[in-house]
Amino acid sequence: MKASSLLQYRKDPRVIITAPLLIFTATSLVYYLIQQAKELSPEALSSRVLLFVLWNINLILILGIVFVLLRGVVKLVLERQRGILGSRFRSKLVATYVITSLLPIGLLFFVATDLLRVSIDRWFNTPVRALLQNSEAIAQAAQNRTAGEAESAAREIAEAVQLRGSADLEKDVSHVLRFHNVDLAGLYEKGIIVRLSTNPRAPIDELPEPSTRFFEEVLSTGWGRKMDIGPQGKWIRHAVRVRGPSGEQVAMAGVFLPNNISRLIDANIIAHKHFQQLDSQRAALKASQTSLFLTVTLSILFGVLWTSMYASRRITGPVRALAEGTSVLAAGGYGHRIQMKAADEFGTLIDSFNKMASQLESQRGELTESNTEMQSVNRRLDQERAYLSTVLESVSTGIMAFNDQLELLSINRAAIAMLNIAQPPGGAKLGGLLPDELASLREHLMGLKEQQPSSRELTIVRAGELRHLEVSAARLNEPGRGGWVVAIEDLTELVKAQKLAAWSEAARRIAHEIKNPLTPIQLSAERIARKFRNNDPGTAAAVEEGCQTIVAEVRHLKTMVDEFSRFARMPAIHLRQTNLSQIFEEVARLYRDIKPGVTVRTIADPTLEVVLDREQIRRALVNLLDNAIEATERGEILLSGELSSRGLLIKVQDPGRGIPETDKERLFLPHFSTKREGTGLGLAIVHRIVHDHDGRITVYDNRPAGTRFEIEIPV
Amino acid sequence: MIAVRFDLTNASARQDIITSLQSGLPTAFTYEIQLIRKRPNWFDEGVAEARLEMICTFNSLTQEYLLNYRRDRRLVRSEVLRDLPTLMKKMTSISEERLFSTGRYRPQKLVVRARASLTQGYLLHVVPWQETTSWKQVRVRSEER
Repeated sequence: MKASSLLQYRKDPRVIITAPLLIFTATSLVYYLIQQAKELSPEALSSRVLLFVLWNINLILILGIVFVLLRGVVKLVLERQRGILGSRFRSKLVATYVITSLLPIGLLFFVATDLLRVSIDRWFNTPVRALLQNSEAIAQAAQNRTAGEAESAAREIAEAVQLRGSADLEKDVSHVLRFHNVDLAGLYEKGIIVRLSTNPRAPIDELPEPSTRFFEEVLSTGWGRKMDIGPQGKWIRHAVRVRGPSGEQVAMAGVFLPNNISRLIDANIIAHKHFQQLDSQRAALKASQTSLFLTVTLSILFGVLWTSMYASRRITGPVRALAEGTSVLAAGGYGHRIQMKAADEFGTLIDSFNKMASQLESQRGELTESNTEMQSVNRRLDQERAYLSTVLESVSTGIMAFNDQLELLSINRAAIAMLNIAQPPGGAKLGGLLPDELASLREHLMGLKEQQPSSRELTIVRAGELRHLEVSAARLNEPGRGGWVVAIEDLTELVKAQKLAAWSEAARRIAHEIKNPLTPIQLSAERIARKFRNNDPGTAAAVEEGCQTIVAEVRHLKTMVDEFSRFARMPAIHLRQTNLSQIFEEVARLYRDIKPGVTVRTIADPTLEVVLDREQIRRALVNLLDNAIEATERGEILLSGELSSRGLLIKVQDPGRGIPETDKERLFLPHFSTKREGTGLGLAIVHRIVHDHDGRITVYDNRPAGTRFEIEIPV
Repeated sequence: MIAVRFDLTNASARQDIITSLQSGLPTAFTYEIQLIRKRPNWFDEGVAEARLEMICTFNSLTQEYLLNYRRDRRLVRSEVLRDLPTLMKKMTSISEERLFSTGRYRPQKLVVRARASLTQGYLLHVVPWQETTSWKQVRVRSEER
């Protein structure tokens, strides 16, 4: 039965009304039968009809029990074979019900029926039997004695008739009536009264005449006895055959026992006969009582069995529904709900299950949505990662990523090519990744400590070739996952191009600078030659002036060549511990009071010791101050130095005319100068010195006016 | 016509039957008599059957036994007896002169069988069980008159 139909069945008001009504009716019927059985005679109790009815009822009940039991067992076996949930629990429940009901009911039946049979046997084994036997014997003796008197009287009449014939019949009959204490005496012939005398006190009117058959029996057997019961008492008549002269006759005498005596006699006889009847019906009585008891027992058993099956179904219904629901839920059927309603704890359980299923369904939906969204995000991330990977693989810039433990996270193809290394495995240590040839790069990367982005140009030799690299590092600031992203730009070609351009420019400048003195030299030589050819009187003066000009220009050329030679022969730096404040003072002293209105001030910690090439730095600062003095008409030139997070920071600020933006790009190129007399090598030398210290120099506009040079040197 | 005669032995010696007879309860001996035709290697064919009942009721007040003789559930005759031996003889001796007709069958092919049902017992004190003798049968034979 399905849960919904079971629910309807349970809630059907007809069942609710009919079931108690049937139970009440059956109980009333049994009670009525028991009450009626008390009034039934032993014959009725032991009648075959009653036993037949009871046996058939019992048979029907037994068949009903067997049917209910077999049906239940077969259904349970089939349910267990089909693996229907709850069948095992129901089997145990039914078995428990049946055993716990069968045992007491069976025990009660066997004990009670045995007790009943023993009690019935005990009824017939009491002294009542002897008492009734004796009573009947006494009554029979009294009746026999009376019958004996009638027999004596009849025989005397018969003897008298045989002796004397019918001559003195009246006298003989009267004599017998008087002396034998009988109430009736007479002679019959062929069933007709010949002579009959009666006691006037006896109710002769209620005495029927003997039947012809009686007379025939007397004549055939020689005697006969007849008892007739009338309203006032009992007649006992005895007849004997008489073979007289006139043929066969019947002599008869009778005694009347009035009711007060005859009823006593009859009562005794009847009492014993009833007892005998009961005794002979003992087996039937036991059978009827046992059958009646069996009927009640089987009815109870049937009811208990049916109820146990029904109750087990009711109890296991919710359990089964819950088990099935759980199974469906476990299989992923989150939309499953138990429709069964119950008012007991099962109802609470079912409600809880349905709530849990709803929550699971809701959470499942949310998870599915979240999963779909995550899949979408993952797909997008994969696409972005692939795109990023493609971009990284496509760019010419080498990209490497490290974690804080300097383990390689990723490296692109361009970086591998630039560094000329084999494809490293993920997680490779930086120390093992870069060979000794790249020691400068390795040391630079291993020295990354700052949070700020850093950039540095490195020159390395790979495969016998000089390479110029710009290494920029930026901090990875992912939560819980720090590290560095390093971008390596190969500047070799750019540097080559820049050098080529610089030398082109330098050549052009040199050519220009050489050309400039050549013109006065040429003009002086031509003037001297013309003067000399024309014998001009001013020849000597012209020679003098021309020679002076030529010498001056040649000297200028020589100076310029010396400067270039010096620039070309820049010595290697020699680093040592140096007091920065002292260098500042030495340089500033050279330029104090050199130009009216222009002052030089230095700011530096007198105790600050740094590692650098003292002479080279001093030379760079002289060049910078030289330019600052030249560019400043009035004001203070400030030379300051301090340690910052990026190393030693040296600033040279002047309030001069400043540098146009267009000139800033070429400022550090060799032989670029905005001065008429400048060689254009001063700032190029400064740039070279700073570069040799692995530092960098940057030019800014000073506020409110002028120029500011910042030199950063790692310490 | 077929006359049937037989005696039920040992019934008068049983005290339970005597007690039942003298208790005044109706006590019945039922005889089932069948006339069958024997068929070799096949089921016997029933030709005719009769049911005889001897029902005795004792009147303890008049000390008389009323014996009703029924055939096929119809009362044929009644008689009053006063002594038990005569009664038992009447109830256990069956003599029916014209019980069956041979009809179209040859007498030598016919068999008469009979059994008697006496008192009722109860199996396990509950299940009614009729005490019945086994079937006794004799072949029909012609009798010279």
